[in-house]
Amino acid sequence: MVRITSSDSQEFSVSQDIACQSQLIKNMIEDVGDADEQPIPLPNVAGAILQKGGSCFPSISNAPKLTLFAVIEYATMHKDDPPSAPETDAKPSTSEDIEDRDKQFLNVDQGTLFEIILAANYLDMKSLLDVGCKTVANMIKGKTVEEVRALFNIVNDFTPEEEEQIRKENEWCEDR
Amino acid sequence: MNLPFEVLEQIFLQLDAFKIAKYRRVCRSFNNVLTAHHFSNLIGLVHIGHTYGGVEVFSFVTPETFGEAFLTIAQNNLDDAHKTGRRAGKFKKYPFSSLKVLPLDPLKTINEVSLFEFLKGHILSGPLPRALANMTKLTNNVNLNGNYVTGPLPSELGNLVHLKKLDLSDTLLDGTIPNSFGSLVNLEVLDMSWASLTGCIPESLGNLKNLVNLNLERNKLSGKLPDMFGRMTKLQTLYLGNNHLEGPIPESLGRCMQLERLNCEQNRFSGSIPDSIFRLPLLESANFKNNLILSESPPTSDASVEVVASIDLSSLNVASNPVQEGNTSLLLSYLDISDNQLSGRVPYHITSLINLQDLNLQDNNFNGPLPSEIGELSNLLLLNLGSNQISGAIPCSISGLVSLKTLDLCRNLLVGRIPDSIILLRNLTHLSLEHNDLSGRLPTEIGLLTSLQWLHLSHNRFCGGIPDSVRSLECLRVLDLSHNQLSGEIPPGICMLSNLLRLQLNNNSLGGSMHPDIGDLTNLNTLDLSYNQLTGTVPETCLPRCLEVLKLNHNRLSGPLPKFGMLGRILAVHLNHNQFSGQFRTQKGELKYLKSLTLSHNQLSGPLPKFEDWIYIRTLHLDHNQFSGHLPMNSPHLKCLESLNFSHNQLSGSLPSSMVRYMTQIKILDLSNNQFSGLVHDILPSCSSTVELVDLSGNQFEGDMPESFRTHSADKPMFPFRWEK
Repeated sequence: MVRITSSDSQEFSVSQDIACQSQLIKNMIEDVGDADEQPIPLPNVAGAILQKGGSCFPSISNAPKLTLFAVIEYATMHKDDPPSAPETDAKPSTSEDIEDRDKQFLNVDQGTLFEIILAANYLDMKSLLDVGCKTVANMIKGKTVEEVRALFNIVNDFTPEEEEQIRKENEWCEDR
Repeated sequence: MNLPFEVLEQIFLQLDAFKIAKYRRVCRSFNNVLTAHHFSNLIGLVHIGHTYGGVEVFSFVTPETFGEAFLTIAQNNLDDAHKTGRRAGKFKKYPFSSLKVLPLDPLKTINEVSLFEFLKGHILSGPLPRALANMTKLTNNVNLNGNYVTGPLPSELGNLVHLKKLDLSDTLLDGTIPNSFGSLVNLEVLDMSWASLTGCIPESLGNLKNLVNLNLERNKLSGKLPDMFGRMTKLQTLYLGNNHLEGPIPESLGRCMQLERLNCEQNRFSGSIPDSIFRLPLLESANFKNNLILSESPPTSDASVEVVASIDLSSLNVASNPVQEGNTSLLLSYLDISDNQLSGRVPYHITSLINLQDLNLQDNNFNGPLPSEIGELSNLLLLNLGSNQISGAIPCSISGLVSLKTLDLCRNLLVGRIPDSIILLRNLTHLSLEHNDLSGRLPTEIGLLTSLQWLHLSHNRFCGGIPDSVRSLECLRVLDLSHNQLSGEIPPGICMLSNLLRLQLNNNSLGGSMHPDIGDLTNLNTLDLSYNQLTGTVPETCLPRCLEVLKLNHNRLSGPLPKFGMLGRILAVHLNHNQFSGQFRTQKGELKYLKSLTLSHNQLSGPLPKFEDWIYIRTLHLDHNQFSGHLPMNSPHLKCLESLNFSHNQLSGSLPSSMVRYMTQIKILDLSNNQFSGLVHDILPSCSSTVELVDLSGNQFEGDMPESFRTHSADKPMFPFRWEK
């Protein structure tokens, strides 16, 4: 078992093959050796609070998820996946092919989704990052610039002149 | 949405590359991602049209190159190319609203090479994107030869460090060669010829130590050629021709021991050619044509070497310098140093280049006699020493050049006879000795040179007759013996040379009459027998059918005019200063391409023809004959006429009122010494600035002179009238 702590000092024990889906943790374990006196700190991953009720795995659909917990959940779900071939030259995947269980897993509010993606990015979990980005990409797909801004609450921080310049450069491809 | 750069990048990489550019407008962080690294990479290719030949035309697009202006440029390249005759052919551009995006998505194409595979058979137009430089996996070959890519060479291309072959030739690329190209250390072939590159060649190219072929010819490169070849030990071909390069040819070239071909032609190289170049063991071809290479000799440490010219070829002399044996360019078969400023004697030692096939030293200032050792170059096919100041006689040893096809010694100061031994050069097709001071008789056996196609011996002092044996020169296309002192009759055997295109025997002292069989020269287009002493008549039917130029002027020919009206292609007829008599008649439709007709100083009589359809005629001189009757010219067809001379005839009547109206190019109008009468003032209304001479004197005109001429003269001009600018 590997002990890890979140930024708010919650401690988790997870099996090694789950923890090592994070390239970051894997590297740390290799650096530190097998000594497990100290838990591995993950200062950038917040909100690892256990659900009341003591259940290790609260039901997915209605519980407000907390990031590290969610990440562990994802890792547990995928622990028996065959290892992905490194840098496959196979045909590039598209945002369409997301497994149903992942789809369901990421069926969360936007804030959580971004937290998960950030955590996956930080923990260097390629498959989770990939599926998270695909989910966001699917949300963007087919939307206009204005719809995208509205969807993600993005403030247009261009000056009107700057925006006009880009609009001009993109004129021929805007609505295709 | 506070996702970091790399996450946003990941998200956009999931989307269709062609559909994400618009999201640049969402906010700054989106824009930063979409214009950086991955996305400044090629977003792809846009299908902008096709040629009528069916070749599809694409443009690279990146976010930064998006926009109508860019695509318009890319499309216009093709239109311009069509106008300037490049091979794209007429271009059908797609309307802006329906540009098609190529399904190939280079962004996700892991195998970058496939992009260039795809481009084969298509045309690429528009700027070369800097993003190409991100395709660092490219190793073998970037080939954009013959495409319509424009703009400056992106210096980022220097990142493609694995590249072995870069071919950007025959494109519309301009700007300078980036310094960064010096990083392409794996390059074996760098071809940027036939583009519009400017500026200097960067010294950094000296790092390209694996280069085998370097081709920069036909650009606008300028400045000095850096002394950068010291490390290019694998260089086999170096083409620098047709640029504006200047300064010396670098010494370090002499260290490219693999060099086979060197072309520096049409630049402004000066100084001398380093003699080390001529010691390169594998050099086959060296071309320094049309530069400013000077006559000064290069500095040489070997004081015993006789310095004979600016190129110190003495080191090539294997016999006298055994130490150098095996170390000289014995393979050199092509040497062209024509059109430079070399002086001094023709180097004797050139004869040690025993494999030389083409030796071109024309248009220099070489002087002194031809070295007789030149005859030792038995492999020589071409020897051109034209337009120098070579003096003395042609050495008999020239017969040693048994392979020679072209011998050009024209425009020198050669004297003496043509050596009889010249007839041993049985392979000669081209013999040019014109504009010298050669004399004596032509070799009697010249007919043995049966391969001859071009024989130019004009402007010498040859005398005696034309040898009968010329009849054997069956391949002859041009025979020019003009401006000599040849005498006797024209040998009838000449009429058997049915391949002749040009026969020029003018300005000699040839007598006798024209042979009736001259009409057998069915391919002849120029016949010039002027300024001789030919007599008799021109046989009625004898003129070759394809004649374009007929000059028989200044002879003593008599009888009726030859029937040149039948010659469908005739452009110029000069029969002046003979004793032709009778009438001058032509039919409508004859002589319609005629530009120049001179029948002056004969004894022609009768009325003038109507000059109908003579729309190209510029010079029409019928003066000093006995033509009579009225001027027939009332037609608009003489609009090209520049010089009209009908003086000294017996023409009469008044001048047609519209006579000059159409002659907008007229410079000389001479109607003097006839019997014209009537009013003149209205015939010269439009005499424009082109007019140089008008002579109406010696007639019976009356009335005032035209206004336009009064301004040129203080007095009121009166007849007889002659006005000169």
